[in-house]
Amino acid sequence: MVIPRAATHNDYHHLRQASSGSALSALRSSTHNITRLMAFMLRCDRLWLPLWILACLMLATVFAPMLPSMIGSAQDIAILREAMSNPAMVAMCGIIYGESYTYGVMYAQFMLVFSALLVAAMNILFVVRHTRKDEEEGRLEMLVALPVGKNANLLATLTLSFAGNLLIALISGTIIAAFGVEGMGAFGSLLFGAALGVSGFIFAAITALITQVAASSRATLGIAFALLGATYLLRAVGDVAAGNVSVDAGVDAELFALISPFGLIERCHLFVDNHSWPLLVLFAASLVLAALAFILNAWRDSGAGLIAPCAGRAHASALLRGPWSLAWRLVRGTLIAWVLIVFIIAVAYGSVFGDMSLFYESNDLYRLMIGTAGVSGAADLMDPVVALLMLIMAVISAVPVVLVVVRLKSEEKRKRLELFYSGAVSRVYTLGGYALIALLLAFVLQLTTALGMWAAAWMSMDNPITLGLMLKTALNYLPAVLFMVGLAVFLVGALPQATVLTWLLLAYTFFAVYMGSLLGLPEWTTKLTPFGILPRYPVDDFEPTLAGVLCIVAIALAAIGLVAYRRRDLE
Amino acid sequence: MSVLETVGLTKRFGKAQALAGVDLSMETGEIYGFIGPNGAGKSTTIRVLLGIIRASRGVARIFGKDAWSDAVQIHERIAYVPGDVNLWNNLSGGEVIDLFLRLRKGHDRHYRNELIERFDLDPTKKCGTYSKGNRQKVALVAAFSADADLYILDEPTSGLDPLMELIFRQCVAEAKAAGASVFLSSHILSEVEHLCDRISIIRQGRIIDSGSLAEMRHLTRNKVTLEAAAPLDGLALLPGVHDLVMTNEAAANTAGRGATTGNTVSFSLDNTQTSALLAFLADRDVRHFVSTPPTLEELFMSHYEGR
Repeated sequence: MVIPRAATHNDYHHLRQASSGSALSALRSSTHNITRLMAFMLRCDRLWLPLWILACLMLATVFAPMLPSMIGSAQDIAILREAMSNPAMVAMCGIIYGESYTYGVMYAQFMLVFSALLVAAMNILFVVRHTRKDEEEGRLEMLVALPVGKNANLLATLTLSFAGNLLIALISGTIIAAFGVEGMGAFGSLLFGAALGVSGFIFAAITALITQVAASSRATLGIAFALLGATYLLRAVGDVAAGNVSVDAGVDAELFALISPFGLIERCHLFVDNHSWPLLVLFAASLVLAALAFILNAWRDSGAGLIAPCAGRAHASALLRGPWSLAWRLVRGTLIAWVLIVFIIAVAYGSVFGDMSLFYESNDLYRLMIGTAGVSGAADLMDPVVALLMLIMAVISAVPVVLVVVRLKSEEKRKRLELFYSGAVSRVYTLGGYALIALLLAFVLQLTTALGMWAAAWMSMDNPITLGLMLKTALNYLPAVLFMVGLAVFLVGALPQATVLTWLLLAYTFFAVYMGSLLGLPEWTTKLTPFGILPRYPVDDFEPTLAGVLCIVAIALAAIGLVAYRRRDLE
Repeated sequence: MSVLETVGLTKRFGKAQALAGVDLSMETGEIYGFIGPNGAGKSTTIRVLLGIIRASRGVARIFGKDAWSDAVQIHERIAYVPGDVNLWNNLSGGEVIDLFLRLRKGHDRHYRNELIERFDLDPTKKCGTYSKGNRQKVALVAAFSADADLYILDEPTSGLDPLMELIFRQCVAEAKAAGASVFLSSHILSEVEHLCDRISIIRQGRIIDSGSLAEMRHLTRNKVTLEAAAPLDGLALLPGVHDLVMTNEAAANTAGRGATTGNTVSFSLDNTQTSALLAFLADRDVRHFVSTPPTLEELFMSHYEGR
């Protein structure tokens, strides 16, 4: 095509060249200086990124060589297969593929989804860190003022996340292959690694897209992690349905798992058929999502999402009038979200009871495994499962509860308290308010768990577990959650640098309770935690003294924390 | 009566000594300037006064009460504006203002709305979307619409444009007219000069000078640069002229244009001696005259170096 070269058309011509001229030069100008930008990001993340990658690699590989020593005999394997094919375990971990339950199949079922979750979480955090977070804190503005293209930051972020995922894929695959465990072939191992990398990358792309739309980095994080949870749950629903061939709707419901990245990577049938098409599908989807993110990124204004934040009130409502109502206002949104999350997880757990009761009635091996002597019917067999699920739910519920108390410390860190305490505000009253909200939340969450599980069980079981039993089981763990409140108040008040201890304790508890039962860790590993020390209620008897002691320790810790908070310097 | 008083205030952070014996005394109804370079201990002193941190040694009293142990009662009657205002992203400016008014004792709803208008603030915006200057306005409105007896202001105009600074000065004047006292920390000398009755200067955690504005005249010495056609002999002997430097560059510059040779000098001048200087210059054909107030840095370099 000949463009007229008349002088009057010169401007037009230049414009045209700039906007639609050579695609390569357009790409160059919009991504100018990208290598330096990536080097800069790597420098910022010189600790963050290696630690995350290391954590992902650890989770993805360390258990592989341990399997043969933990599950040695053919009988062990048979028992484990029965246990792991029950709907609750399928919902949590995934489906068992293949005729024989080899170490490879076992490993894929145990570790694939969990490792992929961690890699995905890393990618979400990484992308938000280098896009909206930098933008909000004004760092990106300084970068963009340099000769750096409009899309350069996003492209650099996604390129680095791609490289990171590639690294995780290659190293984890190679390590697992190098262990040479029976039933875990080289190709399957590499595919396992690739599945982790691909599921990481698709979440990087999804987050890049959300980041364009959401109003702030906090909103982006919230939506991205909600999506992470939702895709995990979709997979659980789809997997349980797929395993339950006796139900007519089963085949259709498996679709739920197929639209979830976690469900898709499972469909690789790792160490059995070693399909690679699910990974190709996911990777193609990632590229499409990333392309969409680039288009939106070039379009929107820096600092603003496509959804504008709505205007607030000109006057505070009569309800916002003191430290407690401010605390409530600050944590309100998070709490409502968590109550919903806990309810959904409780329903998800509860909905497997129906399948389980069928399963137990026809299964001698399971009875052998849990060793419940003298049980007569399915309902009794359900007790240890109820106890375990409630324990896990209590640990999950403790997360938002601790979050509420620790919020005051993050307020301090963000330097908001200086102005706040210049009002006529007592420190003890303020911290006490956060503790009170946490206490109420702990109670509400235990009730929510019991109600959610009971409702789902009631709908799916012929002979449902009673609400009373559910409530008692849930409330049995309340002292442990209260202990976490006390510990958090103590740390915020007396040792604010050490609040991370609460998270370490919760992470350890989760690991010990959850992995402990899978890996057969000794019992004392769970007894070390406030959750594990309590009796597993419907199986064991309720111990009022122990519960009381735990509550008294919680109150004492909280009291020390409150006094110390009154006496220490604020940051 | 002394509304705010510190005696031998000392604060250590580990090994670092932030305050090394700060003595302040402020009378009711005064506007008290607290100036010093960055890192001198201004904010640390204010944090002790607010009961945010506890003095290692010494006494800090406000309204005759202990700043640490009686913090809550004291805070009912004071209002504070920090230099760096951090607010809650998901609350609107209006909500934050109302919250702070409710956290104190008395406030005037009418005056709140008037101040929002005068400071030209949009109270419906979420704090996360405010610029630094706008966050500063939120804190200023919240403070000045409180009916406080003492206003503690820590570099309150940082981030404000000159127009808003003017409104800030009006607010301080109104607060004083209503009988309140104002403790104003700043590193901008002119701001303090405009507003304050008395001044204390802090440096490296110590008060190195304090007194009324008249007593501190040496602080208000201007830097003068001028160029005159006639010789300037005798200028050095005038009262109030210090640090005289003569330069002849101007002569070379103007020579090319055929102008007569000029004399360029620069020196510091006590403000009280301005008329004497003007009389001296009257018949000396002054072509160029610039007078600038000294920056705080210059002040510290010339006057307080080595003390």
